[in-house]
Amino acid sequence: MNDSNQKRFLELRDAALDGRATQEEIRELESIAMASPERLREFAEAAAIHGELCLLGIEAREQQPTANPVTRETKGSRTWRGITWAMALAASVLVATALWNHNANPADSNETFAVLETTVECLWQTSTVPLAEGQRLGVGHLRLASGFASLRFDNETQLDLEGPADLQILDPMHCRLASGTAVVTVRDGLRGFVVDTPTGRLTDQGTSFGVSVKSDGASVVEVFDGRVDLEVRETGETRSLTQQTSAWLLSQQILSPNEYRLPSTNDARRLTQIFTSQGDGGDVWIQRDPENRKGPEDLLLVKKSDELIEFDRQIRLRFDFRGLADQPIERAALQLTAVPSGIGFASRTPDSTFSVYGRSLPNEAPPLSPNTVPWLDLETETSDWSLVDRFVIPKGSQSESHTIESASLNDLVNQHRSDIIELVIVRDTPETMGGGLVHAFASSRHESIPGPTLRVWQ
Amino acid sequence: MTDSDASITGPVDRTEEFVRLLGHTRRHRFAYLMSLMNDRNDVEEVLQETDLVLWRKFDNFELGTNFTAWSCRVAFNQMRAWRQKQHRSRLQFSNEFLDAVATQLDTQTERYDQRLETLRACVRSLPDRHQQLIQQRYTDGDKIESIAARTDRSLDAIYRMLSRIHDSLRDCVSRKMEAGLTS
Repeated sequence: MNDSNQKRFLELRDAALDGRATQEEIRELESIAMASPERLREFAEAAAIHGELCLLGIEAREQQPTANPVTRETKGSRTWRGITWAMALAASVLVATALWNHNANPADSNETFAVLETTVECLWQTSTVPLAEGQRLGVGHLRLASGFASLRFDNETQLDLEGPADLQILDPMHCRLASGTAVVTVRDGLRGFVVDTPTGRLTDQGTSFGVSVKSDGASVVEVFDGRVDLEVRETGETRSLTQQTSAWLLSQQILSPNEYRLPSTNDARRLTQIFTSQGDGGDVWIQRDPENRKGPEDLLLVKKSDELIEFDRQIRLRFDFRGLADQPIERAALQLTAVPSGIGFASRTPDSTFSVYGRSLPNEAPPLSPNTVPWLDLETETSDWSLVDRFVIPKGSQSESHTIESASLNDLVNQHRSDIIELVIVRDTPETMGGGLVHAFASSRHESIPGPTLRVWQ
Repeated sequence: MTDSDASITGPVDRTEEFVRLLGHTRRHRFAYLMSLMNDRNDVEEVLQETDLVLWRKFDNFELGTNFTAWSCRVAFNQMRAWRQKQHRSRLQFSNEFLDAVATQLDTQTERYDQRLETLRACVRSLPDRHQQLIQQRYTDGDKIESIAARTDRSLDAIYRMLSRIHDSLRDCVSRKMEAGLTS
């Protein structure tokens, strides 16, 4: 093996794993590695070590005692910049050694340590944990579309979640609130329960507090009782809040309520509602078996069977954006209203997850009619469809309104805002027993309920 | 704890078993995907998709076999699908290259917990300043630029040092894993 080739390979390998390689360098790396099984193996081994170091590093960080004064100083202080290599070494070796000596117990991520104590009119979006009231919970991700859920940890911490909210449970003392509102109350004497938000970290020092993460990531924190330590993620600035006080935790600083100017909510953003009945839009449902596409026109039916797949149904929507002002779309939301289909039995259908995929309408696309639209098999046909979002309809719910909002939807409508976009809605959850429910939403032809609507704010 | 502990030893409720296996092996899938993707947020996104698919396909999983290996394969397929669905153009490896790398990685899912513990031990055996660099890079998530700035070293010097540490850790893990197999 030529030394200079090997040197180049190592440079490219490290740059790629570090995320700083250009596309050209990635191609060069691939060409070198694919030409030699030995180098390919070497790359895979380095990649494995890199991935495992990322995991162990994150686990160590999540086990890091946040109240540790050494750590807080090192993260928060700008004086690091002037410290020499030797001094920096001396200051942090103890911390480093302690973290990497920590023996993270792999069983921890497997164990449950909380219970979903109460749920009130909860409409869940996708979740990685089971969601029945009384269900034991461990590490997992909860996305609450609406309603109220109360979690009680075994250490007696209570966390009340108000939808819409996105919460990750990381361990018995650590959660991450990506959006929405939570109220945390810990038992007397317990300290160190951590809630991360997009802009920083809240460490409970024996208290009850509420935190609300706004759509721009800024969080407002209010301490009801006791004390909470706040830390700004980007700057390391810290502040303690005592009871009956509140503050805004922003990406660069902490501000008191009278210092913070709320972003204007009645700004110049213009709301436009686009219906499937406008322009060349449309909405249909289709059944997998083209011979059997007969049914109500005022409804949009969707179903996934377990065995009798000819009864599978999916929904296709088109929204004509032509004529929309040519300005960036800041936010988009798809609104669907569920209505009873009268087909099948809700009691024989579990909580059901639905996926929404989208694309811009290709030029050669046929008109949107139940007879002309081909069945879309997303297992194989993924080339131009991208996942927009998922949502869950709980067992028994047949008349709720559902709002689908996601970064992917924003991206899609922004990229094609002078075009026609097409969405397909499929049910991911198959029928688990015969006689399962066919879910339905109002179509644009429904006489009293609004059909699919795409709201965009520019 | 080895991955064999995640197998079925008696009649248990399938849902409970799924939740147990999913939780136990999630860190393996995370490390596996971090080997193939650079962005932690992207990895989390694919992991969530993977969890749903694993649940949907759990009936296909043969109880008692290697759940980590099966779930990593599902994670790989989800990563492929996720890459296809990304509208944003981003730097990426070709599918052929990822296939080839994943095939190599698949050979390591047999004793994943042991590998991770071995790596942890190898990090502990590094010289202090190397441990510190690994801590700064992977635990604190510091950028190379900031490490270089506060230690008065050049970017290249930090890159070279990290590269040597990676190679040394790779050798250490291979040696210890082989010794574990033969002892």
